[in-house]
Amino acid sequence: MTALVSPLTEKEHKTPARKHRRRGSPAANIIARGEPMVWLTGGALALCMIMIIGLLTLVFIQGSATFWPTPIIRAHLLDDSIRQGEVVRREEFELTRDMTKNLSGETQRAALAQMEDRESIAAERMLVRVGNFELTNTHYEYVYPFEIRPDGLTHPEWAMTVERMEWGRFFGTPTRFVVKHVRDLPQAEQELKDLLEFFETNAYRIPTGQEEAVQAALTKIGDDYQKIRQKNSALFLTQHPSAEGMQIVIVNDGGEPKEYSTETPADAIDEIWHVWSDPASAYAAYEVYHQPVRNRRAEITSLEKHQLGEINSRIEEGRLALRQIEMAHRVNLIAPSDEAEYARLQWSDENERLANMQAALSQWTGHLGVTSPLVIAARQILTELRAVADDQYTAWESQQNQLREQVNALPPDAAFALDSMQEILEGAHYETQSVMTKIDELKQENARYEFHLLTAQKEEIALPLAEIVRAFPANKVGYFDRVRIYLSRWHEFLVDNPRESNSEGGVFPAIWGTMVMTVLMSLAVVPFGVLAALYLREYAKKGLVLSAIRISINNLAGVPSIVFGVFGLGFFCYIIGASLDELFFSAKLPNPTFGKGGLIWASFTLALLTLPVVIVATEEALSAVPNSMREGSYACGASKWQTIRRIVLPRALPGIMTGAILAMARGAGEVAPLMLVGAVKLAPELPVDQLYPFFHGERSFMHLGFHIYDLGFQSQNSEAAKPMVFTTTLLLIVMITLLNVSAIWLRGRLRNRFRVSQF
Amino acid sequence: MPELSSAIKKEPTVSSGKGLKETLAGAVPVGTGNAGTAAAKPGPNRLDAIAKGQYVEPEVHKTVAGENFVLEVEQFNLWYGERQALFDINIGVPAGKVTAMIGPSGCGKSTLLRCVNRMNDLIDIVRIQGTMRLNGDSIYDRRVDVIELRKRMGMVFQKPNPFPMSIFENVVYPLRIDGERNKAVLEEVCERSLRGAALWEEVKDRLHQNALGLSGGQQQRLCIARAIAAEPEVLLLDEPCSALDPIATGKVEDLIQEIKGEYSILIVTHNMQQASRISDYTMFMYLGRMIEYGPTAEIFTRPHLSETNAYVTGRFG
Ligand SMILES: Nc1ncnc2c1ncn2[C@@H]1O[C@H](COP(=O)(O)OP(=O)(O)OP(=O)(O)O)[C@@H](O)[C@H]1O
Ligand SMILES: [Mg+2]
Repeated sequence: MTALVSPLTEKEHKTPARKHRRRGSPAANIIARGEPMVWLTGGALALCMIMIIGLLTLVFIQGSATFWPTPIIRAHLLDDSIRQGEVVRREEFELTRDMTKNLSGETQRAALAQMEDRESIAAERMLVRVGNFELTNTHYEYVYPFEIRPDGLTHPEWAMTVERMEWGRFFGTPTRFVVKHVRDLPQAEQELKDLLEFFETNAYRIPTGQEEAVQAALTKIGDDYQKIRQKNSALFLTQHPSAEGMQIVIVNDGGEPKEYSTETPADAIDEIWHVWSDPASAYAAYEVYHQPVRNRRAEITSLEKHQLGEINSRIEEGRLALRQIEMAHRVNLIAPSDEAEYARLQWSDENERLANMQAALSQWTGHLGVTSPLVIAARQILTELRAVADDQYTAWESQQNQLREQVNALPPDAAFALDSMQEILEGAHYETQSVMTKIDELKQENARYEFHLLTAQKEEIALPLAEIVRAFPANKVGYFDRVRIYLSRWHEFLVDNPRESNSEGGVFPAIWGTMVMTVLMSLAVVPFGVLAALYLREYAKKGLVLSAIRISINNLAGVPSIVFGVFGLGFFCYIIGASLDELFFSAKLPNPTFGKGGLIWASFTLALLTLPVVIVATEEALSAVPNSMREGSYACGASKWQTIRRIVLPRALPGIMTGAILAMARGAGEVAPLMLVGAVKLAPELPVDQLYPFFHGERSFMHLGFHIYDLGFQSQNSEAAKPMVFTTTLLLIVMITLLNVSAIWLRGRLRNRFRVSQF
Repeated sequence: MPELSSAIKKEPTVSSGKGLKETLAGAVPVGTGNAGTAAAKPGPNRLDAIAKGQYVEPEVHKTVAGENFVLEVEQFNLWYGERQALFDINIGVPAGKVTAMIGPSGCGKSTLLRCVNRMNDLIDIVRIQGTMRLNGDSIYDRRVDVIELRKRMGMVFQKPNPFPMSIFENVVYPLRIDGERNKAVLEEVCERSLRGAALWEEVKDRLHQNALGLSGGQQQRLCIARAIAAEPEVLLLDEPCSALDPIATGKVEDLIQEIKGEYSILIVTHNMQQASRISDYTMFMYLGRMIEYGPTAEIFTRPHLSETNAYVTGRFG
């Protein structure tokens, strides 16, 4: 068969006419096969991928490297100065002859020697983070290769990186760690001390003629006091004995601390300091004491923020009520009421002090007898002090009466407001006092610990432990410790407030603000968008008007986002917000409540911005619902709305979700309009917190996108801010990705419900 | 569903004065389509005459007129925009019987079927003229509530169209939209309908799984169950078996045989064997006109018109 056919086919192939007709030019042939299109389309994809992956890789590498702990170098320079710190980067630069002219002495010679006879050479310089801002006034310094002494570049073994609450990083070698023990006075000693102090401060009140008798009695008591004191000091020493590797330093009567040794015993001791003075033991002691101190600091912050914050908001409320009365009756109440309350509180404090003295006096009477000149003198002094206090009371009373008269002339609600205000102020006074005492106690406890470090310039600095966020000997820590530090820095980044104008610390408020705003925006935009799309797709009559509306919605998507910001500021903040203020918050005017940028206005603005996305996606999803399903529903006797609600909407839900996801991703990453309607550089008060009413839509908020802008372009310490830009970007990308992935997962689950089985 | 049917006002129907039965019995047509008035003579040129747009006398067998009609169509014309798709349709659908509609593709079978439950209202460009009555109630009267009207009929489409919800919810959908909440009632209806559609045994253990997971044949039977759940007066089936394999087709046919006493069924089919197997009456349509209408046995064995004979024996169409 083949033998028969093949000659024929060969002949056919050779037919020139046929060849001519079927085959075009080789180029046309290649195009016809479509290979160039494969290359074109594939190439376009590859280019896109390269750019996207390039960007992501850059962000990922830079962003994830920020928190890795780097070693510390110490460069001893030819001009005898020393630079110590972390190497941030090494960069190429052009060393020219002009540049060497500004150099001094030996450095210049070294530079010229390196250049030989050339006009310019390529050299590498290091950017070193030298820290210690309060001493050096700079965070970063360039170190040039030719200015380093031969063998001048070292890695000091015990050099430590210290991250602090303020002033940025500190680099130094630990010299000593100090724990101070303050001696508590036993009751007997305390009483004597009080007595002596009382007469010392009230010396001018001692009745004339009694001075000598009093003085004699005081001298005797002074002797007693010294004896008790020495006895107690000896006991105190045995209670805080020295230990291996530790030095003991004592302080007496607030004088210079001096080293203690058994040969030169001190007669009285107020404080004992335990001092570890070699780097290893100092660092070990630091590690033991640091965490408890940090915990106390956190407690102080929380007390200040929550308890004091709550008290302040209560006072603010009472003041607003009074302000309303003031505005209604055109009177002046707040200032006089504050004054009166202040006078009263002063008197009551004085009164309490006197009561305490009275109690002490009766104690002394017990010990010394009624006839003691001291007791007689003290009694007279107290009576005098009482008279002063009574004067204070009458002053308050007249103020108060005046105020009352004024208020009684007004309707009863004025008196009520005044009463409650004074009640609030009184309660607040005592509560504040008790909170402050607690805070003081904690602060005193924290002040007992000090960490002394020696800078490269041989200056010893005492760092209060509470101010240290993290400290580690950067050249000594092993790999696992590095990982631990790395993770702890990430943890801090995610859960803490920012420090040092955002260039350090965490971004928690920004994360929280971004999340709350995105959720709020979605809650606003999705229902609106879906309803609008439903009308457009299901109800509206097709025609010119409908097309015009569609086109304008699509155009809305192309309007620059800053325009939305301007609109949001003008419409939401200045029109709606200002009207709300006038209606409900007039007492606070001229301070705006809603009439300025805030969380809800930002959310609404972004909702407007993303509305087209939702409408278009929803319309698409609605039109993708097969008509046969609608017809099936109508044939069952369903009305239009029943069909939409029971068939169309559930079926279109995955598509609607796609729209919502796109809108969320767009909204979460938008920055420009937010600058106008509420995002700020620093807002320690979160828009959602545990203070009633929990949601504060009028508050300004922090936003990751704005944070990036702020770090990148507004920061004073731009070198320190730069790595944070990458890290924050990485975080934002990860957050949006997580948001998208979870939404896509949800959509996938929904979609499974509609997967049609093919027979 | 007595309350549903009573909800529709029983209007005195606007008819052309003559009863439908007389019309069907071969009276001279009143209205004409758009073509000339001269009736073409029965003969081999009948199809050509229709193609030219001339009026052709429909052939209705005498037996049909003796039946009790559940649905009456009188002088029905329909236009899609400018194009007329149905011409002077006059038929009666016998109660409790199966009536099949056959004819070449595009002759207007679906269009006519969809007119019965006014599905064509959903298409903007459709315009109609003429009368339809369901058990004496006018369908196209202005005052008729379309939703109530559709509740009196069940419809099964050419392609299975289950809703994206569970099997159970699919079946009880017509009751759900009426606001029925009583679980016992719903379950009872669901089981009865599924049994009616010969699907119960296959799905009784997976009632709450998604209906889209069923096979095509099962889906079609599910649609039938849905159509009979609300106990409609008329069942409209538009090529219910076109997407099914022979076994599923057999099941659906069995089902139609079983339920035909209770329901009046109007079915469109391209399958001549199917029409001859399951239907009591058959109507042959061509280019928007009804050509011949009579008992199935007669249409398939000795039709009055040679064109019908040619079509059923497969010589054209
Ligand atoms: N929505 C519509 N708009 C315009 N013309 C239509 C529309 N639906 C149907 N038609 C036309 O009306 C005529 C009848 O259509 P119909 O669907 O009733 O035919 P059919 O008999 O059901 O055909 P088949 O057997 O192929 O289903 C056809 O010519 C068709 O093109
Ligand atoms: Mg059809």
